[in-house]
Amino acid sequence: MPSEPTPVPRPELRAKVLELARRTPAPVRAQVTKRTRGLVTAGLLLPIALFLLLGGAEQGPRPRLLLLLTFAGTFAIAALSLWAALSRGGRTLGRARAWLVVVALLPPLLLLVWKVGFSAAFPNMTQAWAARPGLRCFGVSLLFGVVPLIAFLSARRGSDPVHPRALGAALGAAGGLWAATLVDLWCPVGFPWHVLLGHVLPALLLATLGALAGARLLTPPSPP
Amino acid sequence: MPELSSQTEPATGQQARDDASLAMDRYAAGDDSAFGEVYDALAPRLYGYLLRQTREAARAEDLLQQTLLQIHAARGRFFPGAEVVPWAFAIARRLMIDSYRKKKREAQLVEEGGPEPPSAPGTDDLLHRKRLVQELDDEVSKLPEAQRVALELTRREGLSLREVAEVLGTTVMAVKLRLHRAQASLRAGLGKRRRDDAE
Repeated sequence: MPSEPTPVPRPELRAKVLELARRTPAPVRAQVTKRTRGLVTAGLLLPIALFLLLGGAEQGPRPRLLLLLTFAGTFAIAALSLWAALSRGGRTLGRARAWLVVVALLPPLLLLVWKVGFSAAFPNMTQAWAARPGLRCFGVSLLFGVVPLIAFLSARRGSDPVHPRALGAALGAAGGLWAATLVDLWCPVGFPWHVLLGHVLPALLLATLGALAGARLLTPPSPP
Repeated sequence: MPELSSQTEPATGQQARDDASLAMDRYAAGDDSAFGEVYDALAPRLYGYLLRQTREAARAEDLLQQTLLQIHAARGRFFPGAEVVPWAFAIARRLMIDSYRKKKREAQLVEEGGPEPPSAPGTDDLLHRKRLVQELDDEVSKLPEAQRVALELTRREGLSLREVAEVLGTTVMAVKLRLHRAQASLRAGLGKRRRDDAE
């Protein structure tokens, strides 16, 4: 029995597609990689510049060891989160949706546990500060975090036809955690509600913002 | 009307996938002449998929053109050493979904049923076969979308579990689970039809 004929597109289509591609040059991998690295680097360095402009690190009443421990932990969580959100796992389409959702939700909670947990190991370091409920940290975290989010979204713009919301959320959380690392350098407060409002909530808000923006910006453009 | 040919059948299997990915690697690196090879390796498979989904040759060709142009536009994002087939199918699927949404024709397309196969002598065997295919198509169309798409990409388009997982943005385990559930539903649905026929 002869095999069923396989439908093939019209031969003219090949010439048309190749001609259209020839007329509209597209950047090659080296150019895209260079642009992506530039944007990611700018997204990470600009908040540092802002942080230094606003006064930089401040030890406050914290023991130096606590400062080092919370900073090291926050930095490690942020670095892991950045790697998990930005790397693609050897696939053009990037990592699975479940991975990205975990990256968006788990590290901010890890940050809370780390900061409050180590603060609790030192006397009086988890007490509430009446003058610092967390609103300033909240604002600064959002300000620092939105910069890398914009840079990451620009770097990955139009690249995700599968799960743009999840990728946007992961990028938002990574940006928020980078901001939290800087904010931790000058915020000595380890009171759980302060950490939640000023350090963790911004990362979760940026994840939400990333998901909303990702749905529009990370999806490949639809033809008119 | 699209050309129906068994002489220009697309290359299938791992070799075709590897050829396409190698050509795409070269194209992403800047070798413009490789796009023709990418087209030759991908277009027949993508067209077959799009035609089965849209059931309109002109629309399938339009979506194929858009898919390949998006691959061209995003060539710099192709991951070195990655496989191009899941990426291409994911772009095609996204464009198709966007197209459905724009035209608001999804429900109508589901109701329209499958394309008529080429006319053939009306032997009992062919009629029986046609009926079986129709029944299977009906049962497949009743599956939840996640299961239906996983089934179509593995069984009809010949993608591996890993490739389907990539196209759908999920894990291999999740794809296996969807396929298992889809097969169970199909067995139950077709079994019920057999019992109804017998009664």
